[in-house]
Amino acid sequence: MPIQVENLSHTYMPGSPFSSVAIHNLSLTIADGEFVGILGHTGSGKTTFVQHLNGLLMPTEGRVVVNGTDITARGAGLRELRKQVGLVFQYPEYQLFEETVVKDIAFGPKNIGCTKEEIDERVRWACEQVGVDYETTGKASPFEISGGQMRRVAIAGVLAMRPKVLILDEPTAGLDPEGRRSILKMIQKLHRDNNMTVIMVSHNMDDIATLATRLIVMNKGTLEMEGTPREIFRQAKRLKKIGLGVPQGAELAQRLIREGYEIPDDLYTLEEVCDAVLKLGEVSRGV
Amino acid sequence: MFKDITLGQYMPGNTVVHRLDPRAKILLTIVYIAMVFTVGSPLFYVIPAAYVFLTARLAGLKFRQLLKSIKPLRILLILTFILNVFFSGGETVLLQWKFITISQEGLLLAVHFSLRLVFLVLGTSVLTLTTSPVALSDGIEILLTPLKKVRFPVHELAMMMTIALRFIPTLIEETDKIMKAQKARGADFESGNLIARAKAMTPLLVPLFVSAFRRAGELAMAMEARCYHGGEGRTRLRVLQFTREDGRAFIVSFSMLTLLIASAILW
Repeated sequence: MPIQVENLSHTYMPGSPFSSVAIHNLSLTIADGEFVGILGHTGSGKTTFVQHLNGLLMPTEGRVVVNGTDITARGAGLRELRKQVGLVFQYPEYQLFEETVVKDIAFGPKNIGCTKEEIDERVRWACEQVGVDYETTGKASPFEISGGQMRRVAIAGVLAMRPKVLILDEPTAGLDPEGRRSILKMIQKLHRDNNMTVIMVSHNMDDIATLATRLIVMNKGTLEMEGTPREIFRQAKRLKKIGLGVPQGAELAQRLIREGYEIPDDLYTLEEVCDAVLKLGEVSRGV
Repeated sequence: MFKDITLGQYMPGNTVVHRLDPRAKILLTIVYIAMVFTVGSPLFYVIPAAYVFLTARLAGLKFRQLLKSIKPLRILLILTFILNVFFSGGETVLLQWKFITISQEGLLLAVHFSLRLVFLVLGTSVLTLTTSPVALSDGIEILLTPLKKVRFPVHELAMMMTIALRFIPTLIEETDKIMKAQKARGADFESGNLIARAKAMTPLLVPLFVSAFRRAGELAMAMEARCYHGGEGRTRLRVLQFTREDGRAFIVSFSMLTLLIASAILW
């Protein structure tokens, strides 16, 4: 399911006094099995952009090609597309509505016309993926469980569609550190075990640093930078200029370099920096 | 799909009409409505027409914006017209074909009532187009103050109006978001018969209600945290004050009303 975005522009309420350009002339490709992180300051057009990938928004100009079909053309099978490209919105727990968790997760598969057995199988699978117990939590009302659990259930609701591409918009926003860690772990597992293409929107550098294989940095509706985390996080100055930062690891590495320690200048995870510092110690002790 | 909602149709500006005291504007609108109702024959709509278009001109409103406010009324207008033309009877028959009779009186009455509707809506639109919702509910609150004597909850009513107006855009945004989230899970809001469509609203309405209640709770808490305890002894940030401009507007309006009443009596 490769995704090609060509010269995409999106203007909200065009032709009215309230019209505003959210995305301007954006082009990029996302290959199968990638884990893409989309970074950007609030209002940089990240959310608007991802809504184009499963046809929730239509571009004002340009086109989006998913798996060889132009989804922006008239009569493109949007339902088929939404089966393939799952989108988890920011604060997805606010979309829960059914009487029980299981029924809520089953909403998607039911809409795409799965049989009863198939629905049940998908719901069980989705529950397992997100770490929600089918027998106990599954019978509860989605309004009685904890915030972290609600988030998982909402993600399961999208996973039950069995998408090949999973898009998550700020999946860890508003969660406590424990909830954040486990959601991230779960996303990583989905990517690794099911070979799912994952596109994750975030402005938390540390979340994205450890997971993504490629980063896309957006600024004011345009593509600002693109590359591997290592390439992107070296450019701390540029990132800070557009209201972003670098992961703690990169921050620490830069500080050490400024203080005169000789470590490589492209480190960005804390583990890497630790290793580099330890190695420095070994050298100075003459091991 | 939510672009057509014109509840918050206020067009910001800084003209004489915009600057008028909201209380004055509400009262003047009532005077204007009285004018529309005193018009005796279609010809005299010239006076309210002149009044409303001049005010709109002063407020810098475009003709098109005014016309837009009549658009939702079109079906009612057509119905009023048709009913009056065909069913009011009359002496001077203009056209008769099988059971349909069109008389001169009926035609005149149809034009009369249609114009009355159009001018009522035009006038109130000038009010809402030039007065911000907050100023409007402020004005209503003060004008209704005498009702406090009979224990009518004036302040609460105005506060509720202000809050409701404030949350309309928020709820629209929320609806849009939930709708998209459910669409991403394959929900279909657009096809099927009436019952299927009504059923399809559940995944939209339940989360919307849940979040509206949550918001209401949070807002109540935030208001109480800032010591809100109802209207008792509450002062205002912007104290409304009548100015010379308001006085002039009153004089002009009342002279026009007198003119109309005089014409209605004389003819």
